Amino acid sequence: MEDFINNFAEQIDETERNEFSKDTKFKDLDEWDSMIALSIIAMMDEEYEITINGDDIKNANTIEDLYKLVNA
Amino acid sequence: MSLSQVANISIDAIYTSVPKVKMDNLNDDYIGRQQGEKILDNTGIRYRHIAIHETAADLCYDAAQKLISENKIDKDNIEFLVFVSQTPDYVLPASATILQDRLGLKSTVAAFDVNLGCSGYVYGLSIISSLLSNSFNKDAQALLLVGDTISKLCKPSDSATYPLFGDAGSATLLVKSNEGQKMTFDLNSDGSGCEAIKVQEGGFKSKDKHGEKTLYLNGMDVFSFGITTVPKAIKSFMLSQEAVVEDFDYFILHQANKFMNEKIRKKIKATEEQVPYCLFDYANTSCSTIPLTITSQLISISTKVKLFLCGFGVGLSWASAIVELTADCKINNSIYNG
Repeated sequence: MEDFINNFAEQIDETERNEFSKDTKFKDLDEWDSMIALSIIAMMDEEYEITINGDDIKNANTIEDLYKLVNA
Repeated sequence: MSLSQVANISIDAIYTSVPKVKMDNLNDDYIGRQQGEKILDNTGIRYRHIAIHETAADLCYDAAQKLISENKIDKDNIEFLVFVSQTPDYVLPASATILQDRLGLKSTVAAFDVNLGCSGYVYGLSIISSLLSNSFNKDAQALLLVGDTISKLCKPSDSATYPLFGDAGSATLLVKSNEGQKMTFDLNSDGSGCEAIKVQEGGFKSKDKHGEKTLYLNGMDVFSFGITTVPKAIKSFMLSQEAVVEDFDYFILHQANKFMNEKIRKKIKATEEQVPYCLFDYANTSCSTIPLTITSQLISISTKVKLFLCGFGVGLSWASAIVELTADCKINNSIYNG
């Protein structure tokens, strides 16, 4: 999980790593936009070989929700 | 993967035509400077050439007319004309037959339209080269016209489409040759992804007969498809042909956006030099991106070059081709002057 949060935080430049936890509601972050969503899709593909789509992002609220897709 | 091959057909000329009106995403009231800079950073797109009065068929006509006159092509040898577009002049008749007449081609030419987008140039090459290679006429030539005016489907208020699409048309001349060139194709389709890129209105399924035709693009779904299915398809096609990345001088990829295309480039392990872009000046021009990348980026071909072409997108549909261009191949990109 920590590893996943690290990878997630790397996609978002302007928020410090220590501000992220598994419960972070990522869509509430100021920087959240469609490009970061694409970065997350790419990160999950590159780091975990998981293909997620737009609905997966839409249905997830917290970082943990996304992490669950890795282990689904 | 649907594999096929044609032999003894060569590409003699590729001409492209873009509209005169050029929009700048860094100076566009609908986009705003800050957003424009962000789009440039992420997608590599700055300028878009936009068709106002001209149509995709007009742009293709312009490219074809210049190709024929500048290279003194004997029009009577042209036996096949295929027009690939999602933005034809009319619901009916096909634009290809109208183009036969406008270009002054003989009425014994076979002419028809194909409705495909991002994969359309490769599909078109496959269709027309198969017809040509089976022609009884040993001097037969074929004209592939590929173009779109997607900007006409984009609402300025939609930031997911308006800044990303430009318009262009192309004309490619194919001839029979005895020099043993082969063109190899890999064509694919997955209609389960049809919702990802769609214009709902304007066809006969739509209940609202007067609904505005507007492009819908699900960027996330297209991106997922682009960074997974596309590199896998490229790799397995190369493997099937016992080819490796180093065999190719250039990979001419559909110009979707730089962020996605760079992911694809890295996955197939191609170098930056092998993957040219024309996104900065022309944005995503749908089915025209492959010929436009060739004419605008491979400005002078001094030796024979081996190309890997790959178009992917709306359908979903994706297609690759392995082709060679010789130093004699005439390439040209110009502004529409109809």
